[in-house]
Amino acid sequence: MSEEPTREAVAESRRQNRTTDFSRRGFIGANSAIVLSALAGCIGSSGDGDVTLDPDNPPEEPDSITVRAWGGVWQDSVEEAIAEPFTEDTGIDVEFDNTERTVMQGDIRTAIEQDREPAVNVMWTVEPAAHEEYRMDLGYPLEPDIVTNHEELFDSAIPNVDDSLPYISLYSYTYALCYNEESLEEVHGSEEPMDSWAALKDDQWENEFAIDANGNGFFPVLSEFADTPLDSDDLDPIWDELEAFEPSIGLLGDDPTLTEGIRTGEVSVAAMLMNNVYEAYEEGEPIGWTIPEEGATVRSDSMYTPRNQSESELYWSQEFINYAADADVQTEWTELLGLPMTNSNTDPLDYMEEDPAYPTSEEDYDGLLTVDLDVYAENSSEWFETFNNTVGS
Amino acid sequence: MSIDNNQRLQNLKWRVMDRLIAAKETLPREWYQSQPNWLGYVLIVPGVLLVSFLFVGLLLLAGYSVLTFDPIEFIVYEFTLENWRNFLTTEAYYRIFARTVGMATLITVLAVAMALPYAYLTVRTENAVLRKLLLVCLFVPFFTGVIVRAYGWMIILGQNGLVNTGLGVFGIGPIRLIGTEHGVIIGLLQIMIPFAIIMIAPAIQNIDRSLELAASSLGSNRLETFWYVVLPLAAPGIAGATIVVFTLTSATYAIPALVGGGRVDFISNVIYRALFNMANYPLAATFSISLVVVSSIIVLGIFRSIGTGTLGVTEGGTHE
Repeated sequence: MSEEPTREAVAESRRQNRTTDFSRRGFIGANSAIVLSALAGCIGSSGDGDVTLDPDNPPEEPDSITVRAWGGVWQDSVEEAIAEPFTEDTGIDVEFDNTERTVMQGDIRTAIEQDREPAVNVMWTVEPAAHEEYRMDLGYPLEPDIVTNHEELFDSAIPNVDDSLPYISLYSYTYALCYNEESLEEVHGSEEPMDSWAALKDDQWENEFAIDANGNGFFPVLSEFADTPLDSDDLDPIWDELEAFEPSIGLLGDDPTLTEGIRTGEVSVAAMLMNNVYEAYEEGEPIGWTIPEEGATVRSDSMYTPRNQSESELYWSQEFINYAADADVQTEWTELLGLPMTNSNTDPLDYMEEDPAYPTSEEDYDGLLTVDLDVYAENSSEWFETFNNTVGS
Repeated sequence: MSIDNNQRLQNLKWRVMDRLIAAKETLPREWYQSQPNWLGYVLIVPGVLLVSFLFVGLLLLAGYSVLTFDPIEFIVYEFTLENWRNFLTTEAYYRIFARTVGMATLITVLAVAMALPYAYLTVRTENAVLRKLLLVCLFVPFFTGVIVRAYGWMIILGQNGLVNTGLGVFGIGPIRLIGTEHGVIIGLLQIMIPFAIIMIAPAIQNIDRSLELAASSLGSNRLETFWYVVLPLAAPGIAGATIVVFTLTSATYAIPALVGGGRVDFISNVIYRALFNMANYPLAATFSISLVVVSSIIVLGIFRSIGTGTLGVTEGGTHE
């Protein structure tokens, strides 16, 4: 096991790099920034139509940048692992906005339509949504020479698009079958979870299964059972499978709702992010997770920079994303967040290595289920509608 | 003698007054009627603007409902009736609409029925401590947001919650309440009963106490007095409470979403998902317009059948 550098050493290394960069760029860069700022002020535009990000001429640092974030451990881990060293190195404060990602997507879209600056400088969201927002042209492409750490990421963390880098994915997770052992014992007399998702079609699991409010994380499983790809013209076999599972679904909700549902035993099993119950598991609560034989959906979370930012905010927001992809930063982040990172030079934690719920290498992804992101972007609204009409009505 | 003189003087005064009034009646009314108080019209401008914005918003929603949705391009400004076709031909939406209206009606009936005795006791009790206690119990729930109350109910009604723990003492259960209509009814009643009480209490306050005493002295027991005297005279408050509780319930979101566990959707939950999860604004606009239309028809029906109650105003009458 290699010796991990301390955060101070990492920060010092970055500081030296930055000092070297500035000495090289020096006077010309600073003057260019002033000229560009003055020009931008004269034109009075907040749009990014005329922005060109030049890594050799970084613009002046803004006072702060805003990152959309999930609350709780998600924001705390980013604050400690990424924001603090970023602020230490650059002097830029990092603020967080906990607006729900779906609401923020609308806010960004509206801001761009109205030629306003968006509410956030860095959009931290789920990978399918990041791809959808790329397709909607809401993001300003990441500059590969600024987000240099993208070269160290797994291939799966880089979007498969033609000629740009719209976003990068930073860590992965699975919608594992999470369970409450005591509830399992009450329902079927054993603390051991089922080997297959198919068991949940049985009557004894009526109302014992929890799932994301839109069915996120379960569509690929339904697709497996129906033997029908999600991009098929006829999705009826998939919806027939959903009908078969429907009596078992007793709770729909967001992450906190599902987590609480499993912790309190409101339901016995859930298809949910396993790291949401990791803390409870560590505290000795009778909770666990497994990957059934059909597999489980794997997903990532991504970051991108929305359009219509000032050049300064755009540049340093991309620099922030580069920090988030840095191997040393990701090493600390993975400890705080409890999820496997996508930088191939990041050492996964010991408990992740043997657990298929934590994909720590390219090969690990092969046994998990995914959704084609273009198919998701084009069809997910219809899937959600059908799912909710089936389960919610 | 002086009395006769006074009487004559008085008669003369009345005759003069009658003549003057008769003369006034021959003049155009604008000459003697006071000019309208324009300040009053100025003061209602904010209200008119507010309602106007509401109507403009509704018109915009109606416009959105006939636009084309595309998952990537978002809203395409091409006319379509696809959203309405989708809404009118999808059985699930009928079920959700029927549930919304049905449960709103049930909640309204239960809330008004429970609010009546509470409001009556609050108004009529001669025990000051009891009255204050009832008022505190009435207003304290308003200090807590609906979302917080919904999470509270999730804890109380959960499999290992207070209710099931209590039932367990008697060897009952656990029974499932989260994700069921029963749980939603309990959660909504707790929110709506205070609204109903606030609407009914003033109506009871306005009932002349002597009417109840008269009924009592004529042989009615308390229940008969309540049924034949209090209830009819409290009808304006009941009508107001019915309208308020029904409209609030039919547009409720948090309790069905949280206590209902996503399994007992109201139309507001569908609108929320269409907006934020599907980003399908045209479909959300279609649902919204439909909810407004259906609720308005029902409320107008209540207006026609039992009046506007404490929400209404007097007819006003003419100037004369």
